[in-house]
Amino acid sequence: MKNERTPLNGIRGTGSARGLALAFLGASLLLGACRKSEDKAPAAAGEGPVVGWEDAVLTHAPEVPPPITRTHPARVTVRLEIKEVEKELAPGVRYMVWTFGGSVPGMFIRVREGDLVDFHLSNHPDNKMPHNIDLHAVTGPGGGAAASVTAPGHSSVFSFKAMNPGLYVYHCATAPVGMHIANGMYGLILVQPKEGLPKVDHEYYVMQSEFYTHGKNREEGLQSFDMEKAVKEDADYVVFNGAMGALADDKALTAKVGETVRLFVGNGGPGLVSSFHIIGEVFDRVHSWGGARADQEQVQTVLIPSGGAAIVEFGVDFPATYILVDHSIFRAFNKGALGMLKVTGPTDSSIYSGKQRDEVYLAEGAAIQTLPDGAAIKMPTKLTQEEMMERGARVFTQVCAACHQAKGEGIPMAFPPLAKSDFLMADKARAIDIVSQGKTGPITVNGAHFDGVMPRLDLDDASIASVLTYVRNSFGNSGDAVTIEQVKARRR
Amino acid sequence: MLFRGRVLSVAAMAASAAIATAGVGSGQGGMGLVPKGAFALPFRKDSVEVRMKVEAFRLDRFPVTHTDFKAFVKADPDQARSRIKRLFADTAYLADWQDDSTPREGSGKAPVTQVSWYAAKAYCACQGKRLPTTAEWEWAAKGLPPGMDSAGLDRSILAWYARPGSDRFHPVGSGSVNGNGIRDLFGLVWEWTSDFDAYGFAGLNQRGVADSVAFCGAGSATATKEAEYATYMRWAFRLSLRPEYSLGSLGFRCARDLDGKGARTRERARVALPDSSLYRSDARWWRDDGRKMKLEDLRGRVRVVSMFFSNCENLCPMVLGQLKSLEGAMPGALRQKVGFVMVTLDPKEDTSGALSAYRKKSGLAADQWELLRGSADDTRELAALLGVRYTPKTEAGQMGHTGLIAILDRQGRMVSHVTGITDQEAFLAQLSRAVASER
Repeated sequence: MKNERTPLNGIRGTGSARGLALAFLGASLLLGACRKSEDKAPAAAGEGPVVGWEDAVLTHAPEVPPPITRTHPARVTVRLEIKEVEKELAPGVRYMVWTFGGSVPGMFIRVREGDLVDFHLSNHPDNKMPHNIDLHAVTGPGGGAAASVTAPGHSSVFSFKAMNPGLYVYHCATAPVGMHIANGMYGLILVQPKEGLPKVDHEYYVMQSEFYTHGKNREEGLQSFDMEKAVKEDADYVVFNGAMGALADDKALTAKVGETVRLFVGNGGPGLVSSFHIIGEVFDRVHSWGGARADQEQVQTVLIPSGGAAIVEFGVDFPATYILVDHSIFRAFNKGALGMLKVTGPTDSSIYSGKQRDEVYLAEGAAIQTLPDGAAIKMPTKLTQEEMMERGARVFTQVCAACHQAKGEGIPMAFPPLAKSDFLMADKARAIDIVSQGKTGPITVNGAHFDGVMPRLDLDDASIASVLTYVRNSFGNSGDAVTIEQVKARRR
Repeated sequence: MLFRGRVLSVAAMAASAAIATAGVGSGQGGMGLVPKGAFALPFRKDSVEVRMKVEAFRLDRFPVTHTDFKAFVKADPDQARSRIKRLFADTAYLADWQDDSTPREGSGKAPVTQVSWYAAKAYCACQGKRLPTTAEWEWAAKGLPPGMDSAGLDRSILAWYARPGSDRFHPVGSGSVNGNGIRDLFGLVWEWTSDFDAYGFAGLNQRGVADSVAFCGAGSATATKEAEYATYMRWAFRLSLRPEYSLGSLGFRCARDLDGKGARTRERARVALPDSSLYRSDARWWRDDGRKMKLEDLRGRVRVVSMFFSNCENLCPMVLGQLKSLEGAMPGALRQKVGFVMVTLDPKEDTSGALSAYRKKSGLAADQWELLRGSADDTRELAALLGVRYTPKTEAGQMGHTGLIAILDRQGRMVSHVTGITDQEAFLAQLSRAVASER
């Protein structure tokens, strides 16, 4: 939206707010100034007096208020209501969150560089706690906290000049501040640079934070804040937008192939630093630390400190579900730091081919972990048929069934069958070689053509003998045993 | 709010009625004995740990219930929802009652909430009791429930914060029981204390702005009990209050000294006064010559009011200097219509004799300066009405307080207040305007 202007927006607010503003200011000079912007290009954007009076648009995550198209600062009223409400943190897990605006994270506030902001902070009468707000965008005592301590059933008003463009965290700073933050009291405020941000197709609001619950992870019921875990920074939940799954499945972010996306990403903490990453995407431009200007290009993972933010922008070129994670990865898979961006549209195989072939790289090492040198493990040298069948079944399940399937039926076009397999039963020595050395290239099994790769399996002789004995006497096959000696002989 | 000058009809102001309301709605559970002791505040002041000493006292076993409060309102209708003045309670006062005398259905045994500090204080005075001090309340709260350690208590309190606010409708007795036999200190509602605003602001902060160290993230700089989150939440909660607030989660209970005397007879104002007149306070005061008076006796002249104590080393001499300079600068005509009122914050030390000595030492003319002392409770109330905050006295005999100077009009309405006279001419102009006003 760089340098684009819709002049009328310059004085757009709610009708009544505008009327009020004019009545309040009572200055025809200012009215004239408003009108001027309609037909005359203003001086350098962001300069000049504060003109007009409007209500800020606030949104719940993941929505972001529309870009501000004004070309001058205005007087902007922000009204934020604090509510203590019970929410679902994870399936069946409820938590009394303290919120700026009724949800976690708090509502997204967007103002323009140079705006004079009248901030109205209300504390709902049903709340138990006093609260206040520290906006990192505010220059002044406590970032507003000192002026906004508010008892339940009361409102505080204070004003500040949005002097510093950028993306900022705001949070409650009432004692004990860590607990107020841990209970959900944080959000983002964007002070849009006077020159605007480049136009994109989608803007989204994503905020990471963690929760410390009295019960263990996923323990159901109404959970309360656990101070000891919080002090240890031992989080039970690390989530995007306030709950596990808040950005997943039907709540995923969306975009179409060819579009551009801007994410306003914050980290409420209270304790953990985020390694924000989107699996399968690269951030084309990054405003590190939430700064006013993009200062990095082509970034894989951005570090977002607790109480910090970043703006990331990227085009989406290929349809897929891209996964937002905190790349401190156990948080993603165990604690909830996982979101989705669903991109729809036509595929372009020149960008990404999809799976063309199922191949395994035949490395010098092995598909199965090699035991460290010198590991003194005693290998059996002789096994009964019964022992071999038992051991063979175990090895088959652990090693072979993933490809050849549980009943040895294989997968057409990919993995040849072992069940009633002419190829397997025809040549015992070849079977030993394939298991011990791997096999690449075309083969025909029961009349069907296969051209894949079987990796070399790092199994001991007894296991190879056992698993071959097992498959040669299972799944409709019937044959003699493969002995340890035979394996040993082929491997020499 | 203070400037809304609707004059109450004379008829509504029954002349000179004394209301004996002792014992009304005294509650069911009686009082428990809290032994004397001492404890450290959870935050340092000027880098020093602050220890609070508490004498043995009695404390209501239960919070005051809706039923208790109903009896009180019946005995003193001025405390009813429709009658109480905005000066003494905000619009949320008893807002959940069905009418002036009927609590919310089924809530009779639940703790009364949505009562202002003034009303709570008046209730306790009615019982011949008083609100507990913050130190007393905190000390009583340290009596652990049987079988619970302090970490366990902390956990149980945190669990209360994690529950929805409907706890307040549970009957008294359903919260925690404490080792002193005091019930429901935790688990149902927050409770008023007599000096809820006495902590957590810089002692010499003239603007009276709550000191950020006590409630912000920066609070960790002065914290001494880092693990006691529940404690900090109480202190932070009190800091958010103003005495006219009437919150849904805030109730109270009363305390009494061990040698507590009998019920006090409250006296209504003898004259008609505007709703917002501070002279509506029923407190009794004593002049430095020992004569008893009421604030309404100050009517007729515009008053410049400040609170002080005679041993004050820092702020008070400065304020007094400003006031004396002002007096000297007043034209004679103005001087006749303006009087100065200095009210001690330390009635224990500032006896009539001490005040009289202060008058002599400071050269304060009898026809121009009133030096007043009252009970600790009434002093607190006047401070609340004026917006003066002050800390408990340190062992060195000092207390922090706001150096507020207020102008009251001839009816006792506050028309202006400043923290220090920085522009004498502007202040004189305000005084002249107040004198000229016919209201």
